[in-house]
Amino acid sequence: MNSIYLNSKNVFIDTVNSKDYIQLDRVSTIYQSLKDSIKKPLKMILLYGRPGTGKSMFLTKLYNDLSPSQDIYLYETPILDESEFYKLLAQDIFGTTYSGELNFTQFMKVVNSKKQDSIPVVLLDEAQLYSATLMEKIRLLSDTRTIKFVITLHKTQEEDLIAKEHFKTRIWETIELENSSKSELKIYIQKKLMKANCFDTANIFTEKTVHKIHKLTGGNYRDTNKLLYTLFDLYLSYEERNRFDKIPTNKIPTKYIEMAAIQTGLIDA
Amino acid sequence: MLNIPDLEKRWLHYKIKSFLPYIITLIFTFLIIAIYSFLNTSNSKKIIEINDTKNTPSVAKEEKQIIIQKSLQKKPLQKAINNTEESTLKLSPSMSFIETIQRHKATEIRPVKHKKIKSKPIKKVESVKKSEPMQKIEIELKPIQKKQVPTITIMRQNTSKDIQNILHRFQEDKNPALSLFLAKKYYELGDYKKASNYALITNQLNKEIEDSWLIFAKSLVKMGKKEKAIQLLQEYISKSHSTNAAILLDNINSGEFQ
Repeated sequence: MNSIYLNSKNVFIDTVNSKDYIQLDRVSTIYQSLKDSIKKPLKMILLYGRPGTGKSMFLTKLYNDLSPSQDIYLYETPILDESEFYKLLAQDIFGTTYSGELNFTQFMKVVNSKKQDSIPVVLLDEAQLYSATLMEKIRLLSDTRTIKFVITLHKTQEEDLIAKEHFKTRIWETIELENSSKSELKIYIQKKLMKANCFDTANIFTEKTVHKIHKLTGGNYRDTNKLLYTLFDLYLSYEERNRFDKIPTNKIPTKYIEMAAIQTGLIDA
Repeated sequence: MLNIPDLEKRWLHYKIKSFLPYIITLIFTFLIIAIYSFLNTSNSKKIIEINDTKNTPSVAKEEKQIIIQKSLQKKPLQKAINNTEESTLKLSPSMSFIETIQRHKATEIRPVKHKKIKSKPIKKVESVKKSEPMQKIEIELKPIQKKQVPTITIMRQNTSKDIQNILHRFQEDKNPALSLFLAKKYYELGDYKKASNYALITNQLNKEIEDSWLIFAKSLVKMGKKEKAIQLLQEYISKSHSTNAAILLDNINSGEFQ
Protein backbone atom coordinates (compact mmCIF):
# COMPACT_ATOMS: atom_id res chain seq x y z
CA MET A 1 0.00 0.00 0.00
CA ASN A 2 1.34 3.37 -1.04
CA SER A 3 1.91 6.00 1.59
CA ILE A 4 -0.50 8.92 1.51
CA TYR A 5 2.54 11.15 1.34
CA LEU A 6 3.78 9.38 -1.77
CA ASN A 7 0.46 9.96 -3.53
CA SER A 8 0.45 13.57 -2.38
CA LYS A 9 4.00 14.02 -3.59
CA ASN A 10 3.12 12.71 -7.04
CA VAL A 11 0.26 15.17 -7.31
CA PHE A 12 2.78 17.99 -7.43
CA ILE A 13 5.05 16.60 -10.12
CA ASP A 14 5.50 19.57 -12.45
CA THR A 15 4.01 18.42 -15.75
CA VAL A 16 1.89 20.14 -18.35
CA ASN A 17 -1.14 17.93 -18.44
CA SER A 18 -4.57 19.34 -19.16
CA LYS A 19 -6.04 16.72 -16.85
CA ASP A 20 -4.21 18.40 -13.98
CA TYR A 21 -5.79 21.73 -14.81
CA ILE A 22 -7.37 23.22 -11.71
CA GLN A 23 -10.48 25.28 -12.15
CA LEU A 24 -10.10 28.55 -10.28
CA ASP A 25 -12.58 31.39 -10.67
CA ARG A 26 -10.19 33.98 -12.04
CA VAL A 27 -8.32 31.47 -14.20
CA SER A 28 -11.61 30.12 -15.58
CA THR A 29 -12.66 33.63 -16.57
CA ILE A 30 -9.38 34.17 -18.37
CA TYR A 31 -9.65 30.81 -20.07
CA GLN A 32 -13.17 31.57 -21.26
CA SER A 33 -11.97 34.89 -22.56
CA LEU A 34 -9.22 33.12 -24.51
CA LYS A 35 -11.69 30.67 -25.98
CA ASP A 36 -13.92 33.53 -27.07
CA SER A 37 -10.98 35.31 -28.65
CA ILE A 38 -10.24 32.26 -30.80
CA LYS A 39 -13.68 32.55 -32.30
CA LYS A 40 -13.19 36.21 -33.15
CA PRO A 41 -11.54 37.20 -36.46
CA LEU A 42 -8.30 38.13 -34.78
CA LYS A 43 -4.91 37.92 -36.44
CA MET A 44 -2.97 37.03 -33.35
CA ILE A 45 -3.50 36.43 -29.64
CA LEU A 46 -0.73 36.99 -27.16
CA LEU A 47 -0.76 35.13 -23.88
CA TYR A 48 1.91 36.36 -21.54
CA GLY A 49 2.96 36.12 -17.92
CA ARG A 50 5.84 35.27 -15.67
CA PRO A 51 7.25 31.74 -15.78
CA GLY A 52 5.12 29.32 -13.81
CA THR A 53 1.85 31.22 -14.14
CA GLY A 54 0.25 28.45 -16.25
CA LYS A 55 0.69 29.63 -19.85
CA SER A 56 1.69 26.22 -21.14
CA MET A 57 -1.15 24.64 -19.21
CA PHE A 58 -3.55 27.12 -20.79
CA LEU A 59 -2.37 26.28 -24.30
CA THR A 60 -2.54 22.55 -23.63
CA LYS A 61 -6.03 22.82 -22.18
CA LEU A 62 -7.14 25.01 -25.07
CA TYR A 63 -5.75 22.52 -27.53
CA ASN A 64 -7.47 19.57 -25.82
CA ASP A 65 -10.75 21.39 -25.52
CA LEU A 66 -10.88 22.75 -29.05
CA SER A 67 -9.22 19.98 -31.07
CA PRO A 68 -12.40 17.94 -31.49
CA SER A 69 -14.23 20.84 -33.09
CA GLN A 70 -11.49 23.14 -34.39
CA ASP A 71 -8.57 22.88 -36.79
CA ILE A 72 -5.94 23.52 -34.13
CA TYR A 73 -2.20 22.72 -33.85
CA LEU A 74 -0.04 22.92 -30.75
CA TYR A 75 3.74 23.39 -30.86
CA GLU A 76 5.03 23.16 -27.30
CA THR A 77 8.68 23.11 -28.34
CA PRO A 78 9.88 26.00 -30.46
CA ILE A 79 10.97 25.16 -34.02
CA LEU A 80 13.98 27.37 -34.36
CA ASP A 81 14.94 26.61 -37.97
CA GLU A 82 12.83 28.69 -40.36
CA SER A 83 12.63 26.09 -43.11
CA GLU A 84 11.69 23.38 -40.64
CA PHE A 85 9.00 25.63 -39.25
CA TYR A 86 7.38 26.15 -42.68
CA LYS A 87 7.73 22.48 -43.57
CA LEU A 88 6.09 21.38 -40.33
CA LEU A 89 3.18 23.80 -40.79
CA ALA A 90 2.74 22.75 -44.46
CA GLN A 91 2.68 19.12 -43.43
CA ASP A 92 0.39 19.47 -40.39
CA ILE A 93 -2.06 22.04 -41.72
CA PHE A 94 -2.10 21.40 -45.47
CA GLY A 95 -0.83 17.79 -45.60
CA THR A 96 2.01 18.76 -47.98
CA THR A 97 5.36 17.11 -47.34
CA TYR A 98 8.60 18.71 -48.54
CA SER A 99 11.95 16.99 -48.52
CA GLY A 100 14.08 19.98 -49.48
CA GLU A 101 14.31 23.53 -48.16
CA LEU A 102 11.11 25.56 -47.87
CA ASN A 103 11.25 29.32 -47.70
CA PHE A 104 8.59 31.85 -46.83
CA THR A 105 7.60 32.57 -50.48
CA GLN A 106 7.21 28.89 -51.26
CA PHE A 107 5.20 28.36 -48.06
CA MET A 108 2.89 31.28 -48.97
CA LYS A 109 2.24 29.63 -52.33
CA VAL A 110 1.21 26.45 -50.49
CA VAL A 111 -1.04 28.48 -48.17
CA ASN A 112 -2.75 30.25 -51.07
CA SER A 113 -3.20 27.02 -53.07
CA LYS A 114 -4.88 25.18 -50.18
CA LYS A 115 -8.05 26.98 -49.36
CA GLN A 116 -9.42 25.96 -45.93
CA ASP A 117 -13.03 26.11 -44.79
CA SER A 118 -12.06 27.41 -41.41
CA ILE A 119 -8.97 29.31 -40.40
CA PRO A 120 -6.52 26.93 -38.71
CA VAL A 121 -5.28 27.96 -35.24
CA VAL A 122 -1.58 27.49 -34.47
CA LEU A 123 -0.56 27.52 -30.80
CA LEU A 124 3.10 28.42 -30.27
CA ASP A 125 4.48 28.00 -26.77
CA GLU A 126 7.66 29.69 -25.62
CA ALA A 127 7.59 32.17 -28.48
CA GLN A 128 10.33 34.23 -26.89
CA LEU A 129 12.74 31.60 -28.17
CA TYR A 130 11.89 32.29 -31.82
CA SER A 131 14.26 34.57 -33.70
CA ALA A 132 13.22 38.10 -34.53
CA THR A 133 13.27 37.24 -38.26
CA LEU A 134 11.01 34.27 -37.82
CA MET A 135 8.69 36.29 -35.60
CA GLU A 136 8.46 38.86 -38.39
CA LYS A 137 7.48 36.10 -40.83
CA ILE A 138 4.86 34.81 -38.38
CA ARG A 139 3.49 38.36 -38.23
CA LEU A 140 3.29 38.49 -42.04
CA LEU A 141 1.56 35.11 -42.08
CA SER A 142 -1.03 36.28 -39.57
CA ASP A 143 -1.62 39.38 -41.71
CA THR A 144 -2.82 37.15 -44.57
CA ARG A 145 -5.58 35.88 -42.20
CA THR A 146 -5.01 32.37 -43.53
CA ILE A 147 -3.54 31.12 -40.20
CA LYS A 148 -4.41 32.39 -36.70
CA PHE A 149 -1.62 32.36 -34.14
CA VAL A 150 -1.86 32.12 -30.39
CA ILE A 151 1.55 32.66 -28.88
CA THR A 152 2.81 32.62 -25.34
CA LEU A 153 5.60 34.86 -24.07
CA HIS A 154 7.41 35.10 -20.80
CA LYS A 155 6.82 38.46 -19.26
CA THR A 156 10.26 39.98 -19.01
CA GLN A 157 11.48 43.42 -19.91
CA GLU A 158 13.06 42.14 -23.11
CA GLU A 159 10.07 40.13 -24.14
CA ASP A 160 7.75 43.01 -23.45
CA LEU A 161 9.86 44.91 -25.94
CA ILE A 162 9.37 42.16 -28.53
CA ALA A 163 5.66 42.30 -27.94
CA LYS A 164 5.62 46.05 -28.34
CA GLU A 165 7.84 46.26 -31.39
CA HIS A 166 6.69 43.31 -33.43
CA PHE A 167 3.07 42.85 -32.52
CA LYS A 168 1.94 46.24 -31.42
CA THR A 169 -0.33 46.84 -34.38
CA ARG A 170 -1.21 43.27 -35.08
CA ILE A 171 -2.16 41.71 -31.78
CA TRP A 172 -5.79 42.24 -31.22
CA GLU A 173 -5.99 40.39 -27.98
CA THR A 174 -3.50 40.18 -25.14
CA ILE A 175 -4.13 38.09 -22.09
CA GLU A 176 -1.93 38.27 -19.04
CA LEU A 177 -1.62 35.42 -16.60
CA GLU A 178 -0.63 36.26 -13.04
CA ASN A 179 0.42 34.44 -9.91
CA SER A 180 -2.31 33.26 -7.59
CA SER A 181 -3.57 35.06 -4.54
CA LYS A 182 -3.48 33.37 -1.11
CA SER A 183 -7.06 32.17 -1.30
CA GLU A 184 -6.58 30.95 -4.88
CA LEU A 185 -3.44 29.12 -3.85
CA LYS A 186 -5.27 27.33 -1.06
CA ILE A 187 -8.03 26.24 -3.45
CA TYR A 188 -5.41 25.22 -6.00
CA ILE A 189 -3.52 23.01 -3.51
CA GLN A 190 -6.61 21.46 -1.96
CA LYS A 191 -8.34 20.83 -5.30
CA LYS A 192 -5.20 19.28 -6.70
CA LEU A 193 -4.90 16.92 -3.72
CA MET A 194 -8.59 16.07 -3.61
CA LYS A 195 -8.56 15.34 -7.31
CA ALA A 196 -6.04 12.59 -6.46
CA ASN A 197 -8.14 11.44 -3.48
CA CYS A 198 -5.58 12.75 -0.98
CA PHE A 199 -8.21 14.12 1.38
CA ASP A 200 -6.15 13.70 4.55
CA THR A 201 -3.26 15.75 3.28
CA ALA A 202 -5.61 18.31 1.71
CA ASN A 203 -7.03 19.01 5.17
CA ILE A 204 -3.69 19.79 6.76
CA PHE A 205 -3.23 22.89 4.60
CA THR A 206 -4.44 25.55 7.01
CA GLU A 207 -4.57 29.28 6.34
CA LYS A 208 -1.28 29.72 8.18
CA THR A 209 0.42 27.02 6.12
CA VAL A 210 -0.84 28.43 2.83
CA HIS A 211 0.18 31.91 3.95
CA LYS A 212 3.72 30.67 4.50
CA ILE A 213 3.77 28.85 1.15
CA HIS A 214 2.46 31.96 -0.60
CA LYS A 215 5.13 34.04 1.08
CA LEU A 216 7.82 31.73 -0.23
CA THR A 217 6.47 31.15 -3.74
CA GLY A 218 4.68 34.42 -4.36
CA GLY A 219 1.71 32.39 -5.55
CA ASN A 220 3.64 30.99 -8.49
CA TYR A 221 2.13 27.65 -9.49
CA ARG A 222 5.38 26.07 -10.63
CA ASP A 223 7.24 27.07 -7.47
CA THR A 224 4.35 25.88 -5.34
CA ASN A 225 4.38 22.51 -7.08
CA LYS A 226 8.11 22.20 -6.55
CA LEU A 227 7.85 23.19 -2.88
CA LEU A 228 5.01 20.82 -2.09
CA TYR A 229 6.64 17.98 -3.99
CA THR A 230 9.73 18.41 -1.79
CA LEU A 231 7.61 18.85 1.33
CA PHE A 232 5.94 15.48 0.84
CA ASP A 233 9.29 14.00 -0.07
CA LEU A 234 10.46 15.21 3.35
CA TYR A 235 7.49 13.52 5.00
CA LEU A 236 8.34 10.33 3.15
CA SER A 237 11.93 10.54 4.31
CA TYR A 238 10.81 10.76 7.94
CA GLU A 239 8.39 7.93 7.32
CA GLU A 240 11.08 5.74 5.86
CA ARG A 241 13.26 6.37 8.90
CA ASN A 242 10.31 5.38 11.11
CA ARG A 243 10.31 8.84 12.64
CA PHE A 244 6.52 9.00 12.86
CA ASP A 245 6.84 11.25 15.92
CA LYS A 246 8.17 13.89 13.54
CA ILE A 247 5.02 13.80 11.40
CA PRO A 248 2.08 15.68 12.88
CA THR A 249 -1.17 14.65 11.20
CA ASN A 250 -3.18 17.80 11.83
CA LYS A 251 -0.83 20.48 10.52
CA ILE A 252 2.34 21.11 8.58
CA PRO A 253 5.13 22.52 10.75
CA THR A 254 6.58 25.75 9.41
CA LYS A 255 9.98 24.20 9.90
CA TYR A 256 9.22 21.57 7.24
CA ILE A 257 7.99 24.16 4.78
CA GLU A 258 11.18 26.11 5.31
CA MET A 259 13.28 22.96 4.97
CA ALA A 260 11.51 22.16 1.69
CA ALA A 261 12.11 25.74 0.55
CA ILE A 262 15.81 25.40 1.37
CA GLN A 263 15.96 22.15 -0.58
CA THR A 264 14.22 23.66 -3.63
CA GLY A 265 16.29 26.83 -3.52
CA LEU A 266 13.43 29.15 -2.62
CA ILE A 267 15.32 29.99 0.56
CA ASP A 268 19.01 30.70 0.27
CA ALA A 269 20.50 29.06 3.37
CA MET B 1 15.26 10.35 -0.43
CA LEU B 2 16.29 13.59 1.14
CA ASN B 3 19.32 13.99 3.36
CA ILE B 4 17.35 14.94 6.46
CA PRO B 5 20.25 15.59 8.91
CA ASP B 6 21.93 17.89 6.40
CA LEU B 7 18.68 19.64 5.65
CA GLU B 8 17.93 20.14 9.34
CA LYS B 9 21.40 21.56 9.81
CA ARG B 10 20.88 23.98 6.93
CA TRP B 11 17.50 24.95 8.35
CA LEU B 12 19.04 25.71 11.76
CA HIS B 13 21.69 27.81 10.08
CA TYR B 14 18.99 29.65 8.17
CA LYS B 15 16.97 30.33 11.35
CA ILE B 16 20.00 31.70 13.16
CA LYS B 17 20.80 33.85 10.14
CA SER B 18 17.24 35.16 9.90
CA PHE B 19 17.07 36.03 13.61
CA LEU B 20 20.52 37.59 13.73
CA PRO B 21 19.46 41.08 12.55
CA TYR B 22 16.73 41.18 15.22
CA ILE B 23 19.17 40.06 17.92
CA ILE B 24 21.74 42.63 16.80
CA THR B 25 19.08 45.36 16.72
CA LEU B 26 17.89 44.35 20.18
CA ILE B 27 21.41 44.38 21.62
CA PHE B 28 22.16 47.69 19.92
CA THR B 29 18.96 49.25 21.28
CA PHE B 30 19.71 47.93 24.75
CA LEU B 31 23.23 49.37 24.57
CA ILE B 32 21.94 52.76 23.48
CA ILE B 33 19.43 52.80 26.34
CA ALA B 34 22.12 51.71 28.81
CA ILE B 35 24.58 54.36 27.62
CA TYR B 36 21.87 57.02 27.63
CA SER B 37 20.72 56.18 31.13
CA PHE B 38 24.33 56.03 32.35
CA LEU B 39 25.07 59.47 30.92
CA ASN B 40 21.83 60.79 32.33
CA THR B 41 22.64 59.47 35.79
CA SER B 42 26.18 60.88 35.79
CA ASN B 43 24.89 64.29 34.63
CA SER B 44 22.28 64.43 37.37
CA LYS B 45 24.94 63.43 39.90
CA LYS B 46 27.10 66.32 38.72
CA ILE B 47 24.16 68.71 39.04
CA ILE B 48 23.48 67.49 42.58
CA GLU B 49 27.14 67.91 43.47
CA ILE B 50 27.17 71.44 42.08
CA ASN B 51 23.99 72.26 43.98
CA ASP B 52 25.46 70.81 47.12
CA THR B 53 28.59 72.89 46.73
CA LYS B 54 26.52 76.02 46.21
CA ASN B 55 24.18 75.30 49.07
CA THR B 56 26.71 74.22 51.64
CA PRO B 57 27.80 77.66 52.90
CA SER B 58 24.31 79.07 53.32
CA VAL B 59 23.03 75.85 54.82
CA ALA B 60 25.85 75.85 57.28
CA LYS B 61 25.24 79.44 58.20
CA GLU B 62 21.52 79.10 58.56
CA GLU B 63 21.75 75.90 60.47
CA LYS B 64 24.56 76.81 62.75
CA GLN B 65 22.58 78.67 65.33
CA ILE B 66 19.92 76.02 65.52
CA ILE B 67 22.51 73.31 65.70
CA ILE B 68 24.22 75.01 68.59
CA GLN B 69 21.01 75.43 70.49
CA LYS B 70 19.87 71.89 69.85
CA SER B 71 23.17 70.45 70.74
CA LEU B 72 23.16 72.39 73.97
CA GLN B 73 19.68 71.21 74.83
CA LYS B 74 20.64 67.61 74.40
CA LYS B 75 24.16 68.12 75.71
CA PRO B 76 25.96 66.12 73.07
CA LEU B 77 28.48 68.91 72.67
CA GLN B 78 31.44 67.02 74.01
CA LYS B 79 30.69 64.11 71.76
CA ALA B 80 30.33 66.41 68.80
CA ILE B 81 33.66 68.00 69.54
CA ASN B 82 35.23 64.58 69.63
CA ASN B 83 33.75 63.86 66.28
CA THR B 84 35.28 66.90 64.65
CA GLU B 85 38.25 64.82 63.63
CA GLU B 86 36.12 62.81 61.27
CA SER B 87 36.97 63.64 57.74
CA THR B 88 33.79 62.53 55.94
CA LEU B 89 31.26 65.23 55.50
CA LYS B 90 27.70 64.74 54.40
CA LEU B 91 25.03 67.26 53.67
CA SER B 92 21.33 66.64 53.72
CA PRO B 93 18.92 68.41 51.35
CA SER B 94 18.22 71.96 52.40
CA MET B 95 14.40 71.82 52.32
CA SER B 96 14.01 70.64 55.86
CA PHE B 97 16.41 73.27 56.98
CA ILE B 98 14.25 75.99 55.45
CA GLU B 99 11.29 74.69 57.40
CA THR B 100 13.37 74.77 60.54
CA ILE B 101 14.68 78.26 60.01
CA GLN B 102 11.18 79.52 59.34
CA ARG B 103 10.01 77.93 62.55
CA HIS B 104 12.94 79.48 64.32
CA LYS B 105 12.14 82.91 62.93
CA ALA B 106 8.57 82.57 64.03
CA THR B 107 9.79 81.75 67.50
CA GLU B 108 12.01 84.78 67.58
CA ILE B 109 9.32 87.19 66.48
CA ARG B 110 7.01 86.02 69.22
CA PRO B 111 5.86 88.71 71.69
CA VAL B 112 7.86 89.23 74.83
CA LYS B 113 4.96 87.98 76.90
CA HIS B 114 6.00 84.38 76.45
CA LYS B 115 6.70 83.22 79.92
CA LYS B 116 8.98 80.28 79.41
CA ILE B 117 12.36 80.91 80.97
CA LYS B 118 15.38 79.66 79.15
CA SER B 119 18.35 80.81 81.11
CA LYS B 120 20.58 77.87 80.44
CA PRO B 121 20.83 78.25 76.68
CA ILE B 122 22.22 81.73 77.11
CA LYS B 123 24.99 80.42 79.25
CA LYS B 124 25.75 77.67 76.85
CA VAL B 125 26.10 80.07 73.99
CA GLU B 126 29.07 81.33 75.89
CA SER B 127 30.46 77.89 76.10
CA VAL B 128 30.14 77.61 72.35
CA LYS B 129 32.23 80.66 72.04
CA LYS B 130 34.99 78.82 73.81
CA SER B 131 34.76 76.03 71.30
CA GLU B 132 35.24 78.43 68.39
CA PRO B 133 37.98 76.43 66.63
CA MET B 134 35.51 73.62 66.14
CA GLN B 135 34.87 73.10 62.48
CA LYS B 136 32.18 70.46 62.50
CA ILE B 137 29.22 69.81 64.70
CA GLU B 138 27.29 66.61 64.47
CA ILE B 139 23.77 66.58 65.75
CA GLU B 140 20.69 64.45 65.62
CA LEU B 141 17.85 66.40 64.10
CA LYS B 142 15.11 63.83 64.47
CA PRO B 143 12.84 66.03 66.54
CA ILE B 144 13.14 68.89 64.04
CA GLN B 145 13.05 67.17 60.70
CA LYS B 146 10.05 65.32 59.42
CA LYS B 147 12.21 63.22 57.14
CA GLN B 148 14.04 60.44 58.83
CA VAL B 149 17.57 61.60 58.61
CA PRO B 150 19.31 59.99 61.53
CA THR B 151 22.46 62.06 61.55
CA ILE B 152 23.48 65.14 59.68
CA THR B 153 27.05 66.22 59.61
CA ILE B 154 27.35 69.85 58.72
CA MET B 155 30.52 71.65 57.98
CA ARG B 156 30.69 74.89 59.81
CA GLN B 157 31.72 77.89 57.82
CA ASN B 158 34.30 80.30 58.84
CA THR B 159 32.63 82.65 61.36
CA SER B 160 33.65 85.83 59.56
CA LYS B 161 32.19 84.44 56.34
CA ASP B 162 29.01 83.60 58.21
CA ILE B 163 28.74 87.11 59.47
CA GLN B 164 29.44 88.60 56.06
CA ASN B 165 26.81 86.45 54.52
CA ILE B 166 24.20 87.34 57.12
CA LEU B 167 25.23 90.97 56.95
CA HIS B 168 24.71 90.93 53.22
CA ARG B 169 21.33 89.34 53.66
CA PHE B 170 20.38 91.79 56.36
CA GLN B 171 21.22 94.69 54.05
CA GLU B 172 18.87 93.26 51.48
CA ASP B 173 16.16 92.24 53.89
CA LYS B 174 15.78 94.15 57.13
CA ASN B 175 14.82 91.09 59.05
CA PRO B 176 15.17 91.48 62.85
CA ALA B 177 16.02 87.78 63.10
CA LEU B 178 19.13 88.43 61.01
CA SER B 179 20.22 91.46 63.02
CA LEU B 180 19.64 89.49 66.21
CA PHE B 181 21.79 86.71 64.79
CA LEU B 182 24.53 89.24 64.08
CA ALA B 183 24.22 90.65 67.57
CA LYS B 184 24.59 87.21 69.09
CA LYS B 185 27.45 86.34 66.76
CA TYR B 186 29.39 89.48 67.57
CA TYR B 187 28.74 88.84 71.23
CA GLU B 188 30.16 85.34 70.87
CA LEU B 189 33.19 86.76 69.11
CA GLY B 190 33.70 89.28 71.88
CA ASP B 191 32.95 92.29 69.71
CA TYR B 192 30.53 93.76 72.29
CA LYS B 193 30.29 97.12 70.62
CA LYS B 194 28.97 95.65 67.43
CA ALA B 195 26.87 93.18 69.42
CA SER B 196 25.18 96.04 71.28
CA ASN B 197 24.82 97.96 68.04
CA TYR B 198 22.98 95.11 66.27
CA ALA B 199 20.94 94.38 69.39
CA LEU B 200 19.83 98.00 69.28
CA ILE B 201 19.02 97.75 65.56
CA THR B 202 16.97 94.64 66.28
CA ASN B 203 15.24 96.54 69.03
CA GLN B 204 14.37 99.34 66.66
CA LEU B 205 12.93 96.89 64.15
CA ASN B 206 10.99 94.95 66.76
CA LYS B 207 10.90 96.05 70.37
CA GLU B 208 9.33 92.85 71.56
CA ILE B 209 12.24 90.53 70.93
CA GLU B 210 13.51 89.55 74.36
CA ASP B 211 16.88 88.29 73.17
CA SER B 212 17.84 91.64 71.70
CA TRP B 213 17.31 93.31 75.09
CA LEU B 214 19.31 90.60 76.84
CA ILE B 215 22.22 90.75 74.37
CA PHE B 216 22.23 94.53 74.54
CA ALA B 217 22.34 94.42 78.34
CA LYS B 218 25.04 91.76 78.43
CA SER B 219 27.13 93.68 75.87
CA LEU B 220 26.88 96.80 78.01
CA VAL B 221 28.12 94.84 81.04
CA LYS B 222 31.00 93.44 79.01
CA MET B 223 31.90 96.97 77.87
CA GLY B 224 31.97 98.02 81.54
CA LYS B 225 28.63 99.83 81.44
CA LYS B 226 27.11 97.74 84.18
CA GLU B 227 24.95 100.53 85.62
CA LYS B 228 23.48 101.36 82.27
CA ALA B 229 22.75 97.66 81.70
CA ILE B 230 20.99 97.38 85.07
CA GLN B 231 18.92 100.47 84.32
CA LEU B 232 17.99 99.11 80.89
CA LEU B 233 16.96 95.75 82.27
CA GLN B 234 14.90 97.30 85.02
CA GLU B 235 13.03 99.37 82.48
CA TYR B 236 12.50 96.36 80.26
CA ILE B 237 11.33 94.17 83.19
CA SER B 238 8.87 96.81 84.24
CA LYS B 239 7.33 96.79 80.78
CA SER B 240 7.59 93.14 79.81
CA HIS B 241 7.84 91.29 83.12
CA SER B 242 10.44 89.11 81.46
CA THR B 243 11.72 86.36 83.71
CA ASN B 244 14.88 85.94 81.64
CA ALA B 245 15.61 89.62 82.00
CA ALA B 246 15.02 89.36 85.77
CA ILE B 247 17.40 86.42 86.06
CA LEU B 248 20.04 88.29 84.07
CA LEU B 249 19.54 91.34 86.25
CA ASP B 250 20.04 89.21 89.37
CA ASN B 251 23.19 87.67 87.91
CA ILE B 252 24.58 91.09 87.07
CA ASN B 253 23.75 92.46 90.48
CA SER B 254 25.24 89.44 92.26
CA GLY B 255 28.36 89.61 90.10
CA GLU B 256 27.76 86.19 88.73
CA PHE B 257 27.69 87.75 85.27
CA GLN B 258 30.56 90.01 84.60
